[in-house]
Amino acid sequence: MPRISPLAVIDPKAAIGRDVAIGPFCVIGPEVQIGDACELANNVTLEGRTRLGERNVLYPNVVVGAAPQDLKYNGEPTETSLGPRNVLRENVTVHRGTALGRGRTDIGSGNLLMAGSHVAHDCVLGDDILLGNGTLLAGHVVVEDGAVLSGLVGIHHFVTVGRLSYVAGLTAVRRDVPPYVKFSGDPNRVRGLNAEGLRRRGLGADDVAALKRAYRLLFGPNADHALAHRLDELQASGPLSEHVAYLCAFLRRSLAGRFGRYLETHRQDGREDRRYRRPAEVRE
Amino acid sequence: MAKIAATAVVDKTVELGAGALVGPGCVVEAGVVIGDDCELVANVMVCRGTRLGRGNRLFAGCVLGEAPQILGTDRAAAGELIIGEGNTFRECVTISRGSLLASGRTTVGNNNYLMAYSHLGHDVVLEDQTTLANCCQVSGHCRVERNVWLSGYAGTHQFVTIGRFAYAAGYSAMASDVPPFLKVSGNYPCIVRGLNRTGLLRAGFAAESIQALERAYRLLYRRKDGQTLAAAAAELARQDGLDENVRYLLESVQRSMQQRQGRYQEQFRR
Repeated sequence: MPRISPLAVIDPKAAIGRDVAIGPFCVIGPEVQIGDACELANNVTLEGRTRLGERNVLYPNVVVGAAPQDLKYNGEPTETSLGPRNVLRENVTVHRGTALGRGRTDIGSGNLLMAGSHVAHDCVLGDDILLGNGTLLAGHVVVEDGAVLSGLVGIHHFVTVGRLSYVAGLTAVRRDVPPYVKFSGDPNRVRGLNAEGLRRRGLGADDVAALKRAYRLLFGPNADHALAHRLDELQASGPLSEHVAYLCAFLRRSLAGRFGRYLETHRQDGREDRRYRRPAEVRE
Repeated sequence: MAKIAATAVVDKTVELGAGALVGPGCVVEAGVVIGDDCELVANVMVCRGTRLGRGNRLFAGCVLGEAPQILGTDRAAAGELIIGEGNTFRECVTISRGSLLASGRTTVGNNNYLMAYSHLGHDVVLEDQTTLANCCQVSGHCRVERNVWLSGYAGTHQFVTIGRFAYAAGYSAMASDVPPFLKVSGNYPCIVRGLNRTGLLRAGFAAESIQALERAYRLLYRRKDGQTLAAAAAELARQDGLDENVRYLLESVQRSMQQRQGRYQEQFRR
């Protein structure tokens, strides 16, 4: 069986690395670069300026690099990149960036995107992240290393999902998810330290203990001042562990944002950009 | 006479039943068995380890029998997907084959209707005559008993049992067992909202049985202040001459209560 199926439709200008497997009915566009040892099952579509690092595994019906579903998009040649060793399961879609955003959508390494999940334009995913079935990331979402999003989670645009956090299934996330915590519900709420996740990722006992103490101070049942006040208290209480310091910095940034979303204050589109118009494909 | 489209890629070891149709762009891997009168519309993928009984319809974009979505399991992992007869799999339905870390087999019974983008995880057992609406996600190791109706975007935790003739509303987040004959909704929490009267009437249940189930539902789920489910179940168990469906409801509820998170199947987790 040839590694590259003769039934795949591969543009001659595409750059295919060594030892790449491409199944039947894949469609690979001219500006695509595929890293060494990638494995594409059947019916995978790679379009736009898309770069895959080495050893990515793309299951049937994956689409990477398609045009953004954004009315502000005007057909600009934006980009998409995947680092090494990601697994994209059936029906996963990843869209390229927009000119009014970052101009690119980036996914790091070692991530598992389960069946039917979606990464929209201008998103940034770090490493070792899990997206459960049917989880949808809207545009401009940042997911930090080691975050676990369960199934059917919907992430509002411009949300930041903190490192090593856990979001429960069927949660509509509308504000930043702090690192190291469990998060769910409507309204969104922090539901405890993600102790199980931290254990699985091999965080040391001291680090977990420090986070537990910080968590109790910041989110615990007796916390009756505003979060900013509690952060002040925590940060005044002495030297903080690396993870607790990270948690505090993250929370401060989200507080300074709009709607609890740090990235909202860094939007580059203006009111005029956001007026209604038809999608680029059918616009006059 | 089986018909295979010219652009379909069907391994030579595949067994195709009489009258089976494999449409353009389909991919069928080695050793797959496809029963009589099955139809794979177009761009359907059926992976190794899958066996389909007669009369199944697979709409465009289905991927049946792919490797389990388990960290550390790769695409070549062994495992089975055994599907019965007369099922409909709408567009882009995905079903994972079983994992050798567990039972090794995902099972689908007969006459089920899985709507577009619904998903069954590894080691799931789907019985007969169920309906899964768009984008339902059934996690690994779940058991969905017969005649269950799951509405759009309903999702389950792993190891959940959904009892026969149960109904789950849209966006239900089912993190523990769903009792048979009842309606659940919500997220979070997902709670029992009443008898699935519509489902029982459509299935032709006798009026006496429906009444008995309604009384049992009230006893179990409209309890007096402070009474626990366990106490209510015990009270129901003491009654004589229980309707057979009420008995099934009672046994299901008691089984689920044995496990801390209300998921009876968790005890089989390896």
